[in-house]
Amino acid sequence: MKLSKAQYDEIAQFLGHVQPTRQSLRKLKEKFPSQSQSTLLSIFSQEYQKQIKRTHAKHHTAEAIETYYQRYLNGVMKNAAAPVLLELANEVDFAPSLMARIVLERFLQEKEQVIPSKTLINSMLRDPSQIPDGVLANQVYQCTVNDCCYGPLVDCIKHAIGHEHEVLLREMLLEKNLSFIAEDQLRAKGYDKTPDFILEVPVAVEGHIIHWIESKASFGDESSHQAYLQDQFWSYWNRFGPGLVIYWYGFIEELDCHRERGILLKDCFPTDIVTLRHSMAQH
Amino acid sequence: MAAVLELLLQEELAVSAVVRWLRHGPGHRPAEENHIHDKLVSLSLLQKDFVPFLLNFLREQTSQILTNGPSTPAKTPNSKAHGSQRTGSERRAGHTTSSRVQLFSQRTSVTTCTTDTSFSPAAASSSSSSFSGSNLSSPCGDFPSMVSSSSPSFGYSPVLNHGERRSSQKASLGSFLTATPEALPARRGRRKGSSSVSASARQVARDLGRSLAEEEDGKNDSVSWSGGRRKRSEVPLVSARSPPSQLNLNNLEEFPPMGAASGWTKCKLLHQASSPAGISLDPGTPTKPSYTRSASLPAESHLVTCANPAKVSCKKQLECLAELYSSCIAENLVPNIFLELFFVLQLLTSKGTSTAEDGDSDLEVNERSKGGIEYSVVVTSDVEEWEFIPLNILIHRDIFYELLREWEDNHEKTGWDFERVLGNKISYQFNQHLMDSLCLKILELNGLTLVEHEHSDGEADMDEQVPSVPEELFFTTDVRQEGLMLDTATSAQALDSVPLVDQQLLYTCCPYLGELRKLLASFVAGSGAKNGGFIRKITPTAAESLAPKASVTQRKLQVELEQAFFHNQPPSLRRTVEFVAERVGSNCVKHIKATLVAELVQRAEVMLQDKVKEEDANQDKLLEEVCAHLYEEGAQALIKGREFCKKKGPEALRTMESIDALM
Repeated sequence: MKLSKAQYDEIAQFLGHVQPTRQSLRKLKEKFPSQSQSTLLSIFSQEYQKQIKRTHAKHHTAEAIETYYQRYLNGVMKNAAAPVLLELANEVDFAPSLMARIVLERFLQEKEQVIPSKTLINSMLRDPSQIPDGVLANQVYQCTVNDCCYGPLVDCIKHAIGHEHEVLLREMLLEKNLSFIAEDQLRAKGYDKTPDFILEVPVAVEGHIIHWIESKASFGDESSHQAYLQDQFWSYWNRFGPGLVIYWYGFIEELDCHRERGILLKDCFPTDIVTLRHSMAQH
Repeated sequence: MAAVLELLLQEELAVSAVVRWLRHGPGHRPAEENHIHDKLVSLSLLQKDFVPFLLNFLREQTSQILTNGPSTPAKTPNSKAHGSQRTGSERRAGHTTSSRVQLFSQRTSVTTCTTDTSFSPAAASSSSSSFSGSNLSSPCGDFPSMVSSSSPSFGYSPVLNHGERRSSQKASLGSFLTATPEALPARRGRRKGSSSVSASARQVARDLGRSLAEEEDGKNDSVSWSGGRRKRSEVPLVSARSPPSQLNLNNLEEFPPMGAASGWTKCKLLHQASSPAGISLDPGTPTKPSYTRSASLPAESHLVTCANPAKVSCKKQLECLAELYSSCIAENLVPNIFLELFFVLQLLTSKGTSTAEDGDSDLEVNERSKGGIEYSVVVTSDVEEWEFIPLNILIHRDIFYELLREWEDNHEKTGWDFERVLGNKISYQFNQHLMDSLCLKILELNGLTLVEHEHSDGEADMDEQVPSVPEELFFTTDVRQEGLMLDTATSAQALDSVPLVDQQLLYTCCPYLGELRKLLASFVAGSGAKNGGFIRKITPTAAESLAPKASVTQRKLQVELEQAFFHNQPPSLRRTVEFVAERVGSNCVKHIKATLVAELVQRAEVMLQDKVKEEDANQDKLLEEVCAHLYEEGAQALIKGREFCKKKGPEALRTMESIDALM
């Protein structure tokens, strides 16, 4: 689902004025019925992330952390079963999972008298049963499941969706009888930067030769695409030549401006594929 | 243009006047000062293009005997358009008006043959050139008909590896003058495929020639051939007189070690050309004066007595032409001496129907080729020095390119003096670098062992030119001397006495020599005029596939895909693939030839034999009949052949895999 920049801006603007809640998501879908839901969700998610990143510093000052911790303690003292952390997060326009992380970290600091490691926190967030305090564990759990953009649950989901699309892509390649090397094999071979699939025999998509395909189960907006270009796509190009990126949830069509140079964008598996074949097979 | 020739040939102008006119272009100095003939002053615009016109004209006139040069030159579209539409028997009327109109509407510019010489005819569209073909009226012998010779732009015959460059040049002068109706008698000449010499030039020349020559209907080909042949040989005789014979490279006075070389040759030749009496002749190279006197040389008198006076009815005019041609060469007005030399040799080695002349032409040929080799050494010194700067001056490369561009833009402007304008900008570093490179090179070469060879005359001076360091590298004598001084004096002397220059080197440095040799060799071998003396070898290639071909974009894409594939693989893979493909292909072809094709051929033979015996056999159509019969089986064979290939290919690959696995 390719969006023009104008269309995208419209959506982004709408999201700028609403809270990042499920309700807002519903409203979004209502406002833009012609767009695919998954596309909207992806954009929603991205916009929300941008928003959070903008306010990140504000919520991580020493005072803020202290305030949140005290609010948490007071809250659960009054009523341990109330969604204290969740409501607190909503109140300050912060992601619940991130709020949970802040409080958990603070709590562990107080308890163990030492700054807890990231690994420990991550594992506790993923598995709240590891949290020594039952009440906190519950609160953390609540935050996790109610966060539509952050947290281990969302990470899992995104990861699963991504993997699913790669499997899909693999099957399509097999069906077209295109020989390829998958990422894991490439990593085993020792490549540092590898796309999802390298075509052993290059093919032509819409007239352009490609040597690799990268699968992205997200929407290709400007910022993420630029980041990918920098980190991944041009690196792939340097190593393997031109290639194709499939943004399964769509992208801003103006971003597909590097075709001549060798980066193709599509929002689905290509239909116009020309393979290398000898002339006798043509009739 | 033709007007000038007309004036000359009608003896209203002396050759020397024409030459003067050619040498002094308009605008440099007032005409009176240069003693330009009155009649030529008005034609000053034509001056720049006259020489190419003349050269074209000569080629045209002799094209019938000089068919097909050494390789197939590129043909320009212009010629194809014009030439192929000619019919043999059209009215002779000169449509002066129409052609003049065309003249003005078409503004194609004349190319410079090579840009090497500083006096190559400049490209100018002289829309005012007068066409007066139909007005020429002096009767004379018949010039051979216009059969196009396949030669590049200016009708110059051999197309060497520089052929591609020439073929990209624009149309010749003659393309101004568009199709005027031919007046070719049907019997004249086989029409060969049009060449890049535009037909209109031919037309001009044709009309010119015709009016010079009287159409002698009574003559048969052989007679006019011999007449023509006689005339042809006059031209080269005369033209070759001055340059080759007079240049003695061993004479250091005449050939000072470069630096001062540029321009002096012209002076020398001019001096010599203007005083024919003072020329020292090589025996066997007659000059024009001696020719007309029918004096001194045995070869000459042999020639004179052989010539049938009744047939040489245009002697005067031909002599004029010959003198003009030779003057042009002598004055260094021709773009490329080698081309003229080759042309001359071609004429000499071409065979007419009369065999009597062959003997003497051998003699001239020998002299000329010897002279040619000598002459080749000198020509290079006339070339602009700047062109030979090696681009390994990478230091200050940008500055260098800037300088080069400035030079390119400006060097033809009057009053632009290289040293003055650019002298400051060639920094000390350029020269230093140059010197360093040269010293390095000399030291390097000093260490090489040189092969001893016998060398012919004139090679002594070729010892300054170390093979990969052309003479022109040296900007000034100072640089050279310095470079040599850095080396030891003894080694410099050693170089001088070493017979460094061998035949191979000569042939490498002067590629035209190879062409000349080929020409002479084929003449000696007896293949003479046919194909210009070069035996063609036909290499059979695979026929095009009968199947419908993919579109151009599709094919292009396939090629790109193939390249992309190999690009990311080690190069050995490509080599392997090519090897396997070639071997498999070759085997398949061999097999098919031995089985399917042989069988068909045998059947065809039998059928032919039977049919020939038949009473009512239509001989002409026999072959077609047999082919038609076998067509069906042929198609079957084709399919069988394909199947075979399809099967064998993968088999071969599997074998390869197993071998590969073993390794």
